[in-house]
Amino acid sequence: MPKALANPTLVVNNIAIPVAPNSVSYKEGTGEQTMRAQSAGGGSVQSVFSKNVETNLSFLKFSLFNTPENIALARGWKILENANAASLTGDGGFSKTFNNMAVTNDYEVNLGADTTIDIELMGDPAV
Amino acid sequence: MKTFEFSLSESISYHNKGESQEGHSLTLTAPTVKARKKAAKLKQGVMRAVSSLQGDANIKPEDKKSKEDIKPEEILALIQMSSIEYDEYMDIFIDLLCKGICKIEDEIEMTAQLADKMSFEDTEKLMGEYLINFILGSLGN
Repeated sequence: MPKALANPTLVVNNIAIPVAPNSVSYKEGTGEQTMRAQSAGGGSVQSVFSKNVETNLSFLKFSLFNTPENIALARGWKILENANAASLTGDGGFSKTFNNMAVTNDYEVNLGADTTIDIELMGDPAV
Repeated sequence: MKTFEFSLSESISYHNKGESQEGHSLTLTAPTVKARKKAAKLKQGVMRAVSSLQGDANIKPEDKKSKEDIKPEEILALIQMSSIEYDEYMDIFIDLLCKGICKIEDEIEMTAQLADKMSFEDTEKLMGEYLINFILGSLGN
């Protein structure tokens, strides 16, 4: 029976990261593609394809609980600028690698009960 | 500081400076005080293995070897034949690797995630080499 991927293993810079459940999501960085119609006159229309390579960046998002260890990890990734690498693995041979990743958001640390730190990384297209 | 290089028969992928790379060699150093508990357990394991087998077998004088002549596979066989639980012993060694004594390509410290990627054969060979180089060295003959 097929099984949805809901509990991936996230490794950032060779260390497994414990994340808040159901908080991991990613974009592969395949980029946006658009189709437009151009008029050739006389009722004739041609389609025009374009690819916006500006959007060819991978995106990885997850949430951490606000433990001192996780706060230190997040700060470490931010300091490394784009010298972070991450990988996601899961059941059924699922595996994605993200290279040259940078923490792009100015993450907010809420010092309260049941709160999380949202981390967003962007980098090379996933492989 | 005394170190030795170990060539992996199967490479392991690791993260370095934002890139995923393949590691083919490990650089190992002697255990520090940070790793004392794991190192002490390994040392005690070797001593227990030796003492338990000495009690069982009739060892002829010509069979005795100095510690310099012992090969990695022999020390592993000694542990496997003793009453020591080999899997637990191996777990202690893997924990020791993650205490800052092992670097991949002399750059990145070994972590539990990276150690999990090592083949069983490489892990065994590495353990034998490490015991010979750094654990037996501090034992008497």
